[in-house]
Amino acid sequence: MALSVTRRTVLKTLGVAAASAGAAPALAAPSRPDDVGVLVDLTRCDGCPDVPTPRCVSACRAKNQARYPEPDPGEPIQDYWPQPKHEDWRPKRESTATLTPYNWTYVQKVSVEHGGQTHELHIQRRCMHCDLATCAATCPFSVIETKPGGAVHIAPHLCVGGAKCRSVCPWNIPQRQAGVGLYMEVMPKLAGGGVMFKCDLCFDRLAEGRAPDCVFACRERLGENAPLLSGPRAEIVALARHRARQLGGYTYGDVENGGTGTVYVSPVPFAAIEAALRTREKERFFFPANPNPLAEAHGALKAALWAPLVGVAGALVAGARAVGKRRNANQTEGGA
Amino acid sequence: MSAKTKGPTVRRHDGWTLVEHWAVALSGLVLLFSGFGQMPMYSRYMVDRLPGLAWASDYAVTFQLHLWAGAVFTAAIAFHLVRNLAAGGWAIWPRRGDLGESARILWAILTRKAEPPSHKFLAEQRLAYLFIGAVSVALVGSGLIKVAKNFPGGDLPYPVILWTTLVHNVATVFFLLGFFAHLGAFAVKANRALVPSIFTGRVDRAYAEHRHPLWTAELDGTAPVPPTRSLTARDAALVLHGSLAATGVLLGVVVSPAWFGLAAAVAVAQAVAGLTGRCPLESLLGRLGFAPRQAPGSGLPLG
Repeated sequence: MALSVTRRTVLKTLGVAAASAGAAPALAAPSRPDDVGVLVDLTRCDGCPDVPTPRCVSACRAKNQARYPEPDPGEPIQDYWPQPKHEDWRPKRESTATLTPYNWTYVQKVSVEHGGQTHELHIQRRCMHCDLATCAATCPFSVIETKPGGAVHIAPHLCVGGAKCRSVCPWNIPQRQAGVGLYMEVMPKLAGGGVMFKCDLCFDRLAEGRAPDCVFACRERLGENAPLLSGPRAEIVALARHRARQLGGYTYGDVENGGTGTVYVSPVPFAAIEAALRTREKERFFFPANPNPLAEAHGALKAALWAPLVGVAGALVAGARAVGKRRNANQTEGGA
Repeated sequence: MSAKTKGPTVRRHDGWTLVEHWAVALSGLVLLFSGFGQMPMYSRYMVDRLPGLAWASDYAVTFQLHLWAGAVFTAAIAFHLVRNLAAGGWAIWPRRGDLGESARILWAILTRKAEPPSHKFLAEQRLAYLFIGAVSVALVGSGLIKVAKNFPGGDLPYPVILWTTLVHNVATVFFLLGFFAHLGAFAVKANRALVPSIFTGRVDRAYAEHRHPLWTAELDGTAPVPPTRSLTARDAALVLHGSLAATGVLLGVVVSPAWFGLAAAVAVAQAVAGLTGRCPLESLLGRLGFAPRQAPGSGLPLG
């Protein structure tokens, strides 16, 4: 029953790609080429019109049901003092139309005009699993781990729900549920806000060499024509670029935020998708063309690494002066 | 206590000490503010609504601030440690029996009796120094690891990252406590005569004679000055070699393997120096002031 994709399958699928690789433009390669990557081919996804919920979404929900947050139903959830609000998604627990702590992937539907044509796109949205995840790098308590294989995972028993990860995520992916987690044990009114939830790329399945459940469900329906495909990140990136070249299409995720574990192939430019999404009043999930915030701080990061040497070298010069002065003084006193 | 009289003064801190103190103090304040800004709190608690502080909840801004201030803090601490080790005469380093003596001094202050005579620093000053020094070294060490992991090649095992962050956060709490205790010490009237010395480097002579008679006796030559251990030019060259090599390895691991060249160059230079008996760096440091070769009774036993 294993429909999981192995390195061999991807290589086979790549086929022609290897031949035309020489013509590929010099683009960034993933920093950990053997991590798992997922290809999301928007030219192939129809959003599963035959079922009420797309298969990738129901597979995710079925697998992760037991891990959804369960605040004590008998206890009202407190506001985030001094703010008059808190984030409680329980009323939308059954919603599969957006990301919530109870729904870690969904299919975003959008119509995009491009080249005189209207494209009805179905876009699987979830955590991109960045090569150098901004959320993991800057979580103030380091409770976000980049697992072997590249899955970015938030530890639910350590997270206090400050939601910084959502602020620094270029795609605002992690979703907060109040009333659960470590902060409830300390000062739930004054500090903390719950636990952040998002896709963890089925890191447990990856560890067993299997594909994430969403990929598995998609390929169970469509086989080789499935929009979703997982494999080694470098090969997924190469395949995505190859398909985009063949179709005259576009890729997203291979270089964004320094490269991610999710690469989209689209028949229309992502700037056009972004523009279409921006016209919506309540949309929360976009395709920004943003740089890696950590790369922007590169100068400051390097300065910090040089600082000890600068201090040591300066101190030896200053120390030498002091020793020299004292030796001179001793000599003028006749070596007393 | 004649703290207000304009009597003669005596030099307590040299210029470098003042520079070190203020570099650590000012960068430390920036680090505290920007570090807490890396927690999601200035937006929630509306600090960013205060006039002029709208930037406080911008993680990108406080991240950069924290790194630059961290570079200053780290350089100042490395400078301070190596300068004192190199030059010798580290009067604030704790001595045997400081715990008991600091208790006697505190008791004397509380009961308004005469304090036991002190050296240049009170026993509790030496202990406070060790405390804030150890906390600062923990902050710098964990901070450098946190910096290194942000480079694409700087992947560290997750437990290392988790524990490093814990050390950094807990040390921050201790640093904050130490900072408040430091300011709180000036609530004690007897300590206030020291305040001018951190701006001018000088302290009232009468105060020094009253409270630090063992120190003023050394200055006057009526008591022997304890022997100071200072590095020779060769020791200092070894310290610099080691620091260069360590930086080369650190940058080689996290930034680019090309930096391993720096460590390799140091290794070659050291081998050549050993074989020829000539080290240009040693001569340079000797010309700057370090003793050209090991004199009896000076130098750390580095060989």
